[in-house]
Amino acid sequence: MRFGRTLLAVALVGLTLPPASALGAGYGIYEQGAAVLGMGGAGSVSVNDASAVFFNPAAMTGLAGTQLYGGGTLLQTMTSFAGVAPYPGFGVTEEMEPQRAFPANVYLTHRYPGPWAIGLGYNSPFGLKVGWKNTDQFTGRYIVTQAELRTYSYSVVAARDLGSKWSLGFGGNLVYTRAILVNRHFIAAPGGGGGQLEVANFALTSNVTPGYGWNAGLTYKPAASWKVGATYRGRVVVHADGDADITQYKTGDAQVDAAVSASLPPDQPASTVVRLPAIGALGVAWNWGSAWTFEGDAVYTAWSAFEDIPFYFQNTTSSNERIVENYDDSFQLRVGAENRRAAFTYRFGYYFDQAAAPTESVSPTLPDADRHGATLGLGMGFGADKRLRLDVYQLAVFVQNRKTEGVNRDGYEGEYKSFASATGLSLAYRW
Amino acid sequence: MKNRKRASLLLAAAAVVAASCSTIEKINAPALAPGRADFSVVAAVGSGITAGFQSGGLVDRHQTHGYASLFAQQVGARSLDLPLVGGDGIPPLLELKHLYPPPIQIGPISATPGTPPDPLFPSTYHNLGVPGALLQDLTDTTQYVTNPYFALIQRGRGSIARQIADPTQLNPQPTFLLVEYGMSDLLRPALLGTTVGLLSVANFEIFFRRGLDELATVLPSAKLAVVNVPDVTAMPFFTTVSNKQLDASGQPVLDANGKPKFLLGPLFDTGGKPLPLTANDLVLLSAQPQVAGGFGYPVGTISYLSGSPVAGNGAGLTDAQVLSNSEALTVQDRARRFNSIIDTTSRSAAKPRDFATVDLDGLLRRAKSPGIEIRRVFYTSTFVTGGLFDLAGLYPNDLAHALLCNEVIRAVNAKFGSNIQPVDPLRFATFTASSASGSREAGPLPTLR
Repeated sequence: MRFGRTLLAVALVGLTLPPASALGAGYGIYEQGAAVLGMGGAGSVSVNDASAVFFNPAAMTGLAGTQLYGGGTLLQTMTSFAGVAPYPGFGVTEEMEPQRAFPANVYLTHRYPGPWAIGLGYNSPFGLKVGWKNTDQFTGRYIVTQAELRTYSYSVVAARDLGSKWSLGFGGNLVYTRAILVNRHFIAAPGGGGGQLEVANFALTSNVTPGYGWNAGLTYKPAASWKVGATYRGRVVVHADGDADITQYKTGDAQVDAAVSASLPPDQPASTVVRLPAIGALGVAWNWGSAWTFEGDAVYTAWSAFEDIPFYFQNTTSSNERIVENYDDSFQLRVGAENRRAAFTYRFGYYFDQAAAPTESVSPTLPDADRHGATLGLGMGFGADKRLRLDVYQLAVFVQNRKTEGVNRDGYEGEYKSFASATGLSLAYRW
Repeated sequence: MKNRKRASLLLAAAAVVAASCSTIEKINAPALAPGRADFSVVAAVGSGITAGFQSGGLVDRHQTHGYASLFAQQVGARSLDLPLVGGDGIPPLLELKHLYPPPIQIGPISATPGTPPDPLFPSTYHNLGVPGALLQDLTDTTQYVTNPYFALIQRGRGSIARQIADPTQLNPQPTFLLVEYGMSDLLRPALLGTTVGLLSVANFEIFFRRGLDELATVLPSAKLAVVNVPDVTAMPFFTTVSNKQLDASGQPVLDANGKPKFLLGPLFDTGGKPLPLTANDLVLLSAQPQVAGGFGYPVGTISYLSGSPVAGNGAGLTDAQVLSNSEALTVQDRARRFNSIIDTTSRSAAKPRDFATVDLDGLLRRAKSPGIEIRRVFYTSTFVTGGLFDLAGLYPNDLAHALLCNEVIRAVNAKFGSNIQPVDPLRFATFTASSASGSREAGPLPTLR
């Protein structure tokens, strides 16, 4: 019971913290446990802490007693942009405000006598935070000046040892989301010359709204040193209500301002749809003696669910907008190793994360690109029986530069460069 | 030794991380790769679009923003010598007099014609676009006396095709030529609400091939880009004035069956009363003052087009104020066939000249529906507020010229393997269609005079 209260407290703290900037393709965040991330995120089979609630619930049958695992990751992203013709033109560079966030996660598992285990979890599996510098001059402000996607996912999972070396896990997820998009609105000057006038700031903010999903996992141990597994987290679609706040900028010309005022929608309730894609993973782990574990995972994310970002205005439906995204499904390859020594456990890993955004959709809101991640991790136990354990990891994400190749949907052409790093820790306690 | 290796590895890793953390370097424009073309001297021949004719006149601030001049700038050619008209233009351009609340009011800037180009300018202009020029004018001088713009631009120096290639008049000779004809051939009769005098398909083919042959003879090594022929009936001049009776809120007046009531047209019933127009008849923009004055509205109805109620006078619109559905279909079909000839010639192995085809017609169709999106703003062929046409509803404004320039660039790059960079169209966009970016008329945006 005491640990249940602890879990709740950590979850509440997590709610008050900013969300993560996306470290994975699209707006995915795979950084959900320090030990697994120390191995490059290759842990869907060998995970041996309570973050199994996220990485593979079937693995909970391998966790003895009651285990608490909680922590977070300090995420930092840097993005810059260089323009080409026709817009914003050669020689133009833009920079995003460095984004820092510390999404928390906490998991609790309990292994009953017999075949069953249960688990609870809280984390932020998706998130995005974008804010460009000098918003009044930012050349892409007609697309975005600020954007956020926050997710707060609560999971309840159960696992059963099926015997014959098989384990099965399954459960449900309650995912709260909140989305914010702010940009500038331009119109063609009503005088006929085609010049654009910056006439308003649009801020679309959704309420914190729940969505529902499910997840399942499977593990199989064909030999003493081998283990394979699969896991799946279902798609969550959230229909979120919110508000549209529109602030008109006066041009100084009374006739123009009157014409613009007549064409702008008033502040009003608005809604959107947030789509969190399904994720599936297949993994294989191999133990080399008692000191080494190696794992390789293939992770598939059904990003094709991210078709668009719609905005529905309740009172002026003619103002409805649909930002087309048409993402592609993408995969990640993750490999990692763990070396257990007397005092410390050493981990290292690498992953490749394929971009999900088609070239047309690469934008200042989501400058998606292929990523290479390299991680180092360290674990240490405390006390005579090492019931308390600390895991830390460091991740460097080398994001490949991404060019729009003259086909960006919003006519914002150029090349994006990003770098991300993550420093995470988790504390585990076992009863 | 081992420590040194470790230190080297750490340093290398730090260097990789540091490089990854740095912000991106600005990108410079790539050097022009001309492919199979030579852009050192660009010239243009054609009609009003090529001349930069806008809002009822020819004036320097728009001439210099014509698609041909923009193209020459993008390829780094020597700037085009243009027959620049100063002042308020020849004739004085139209300007926006009133914008909001509706109705929009448009009228001439002044009554004083602008300054004509220097008649003693020694060489041939690089841009021999002549407002109103027909396809046959490329090689045949017989019609030049009927169009006063030839005196300003062609200046009695021989046919356009000969003049543009004559090294005694233009030296060095053009290495790349933009060719745009056909629009005036459609527009001239259509502006008068008729198809009488419309260029036949057979004659278009004869004149087009003759023109290409002539250019192949006089400029044997120059590469060409040929602008195709737009469906002029999609222009605001033909689509702005409703053929229906409208109420005070601008909505169609409906009959007892819920169907719209049409304006009275040029045809009469057996009793001599004017018959209503049919659904696809086009009322010309030139008829707007008459419709606002009650013409086309039956007695007992009201025209609100002027912004004030005006009683219908029962008189039908004249034939010159309406392009009937059948006439419009004829014009559209002619444009389609002209473009088919251009395409066929372009693909033909026996063509006299290898040329890129620029899809002006496609650009105009996209403007009509669904519109051309530039930075999340949709531009359409709607009169004035659509943002692409001049204040006469006939010619592209500066923004549309930039879009046309990008069409030229796209076609030329595809045909000749060059890497010309597109222009940013909004650099040339203005507040009103009769002002120009960077000109004395532009002023700080936005302004209405």
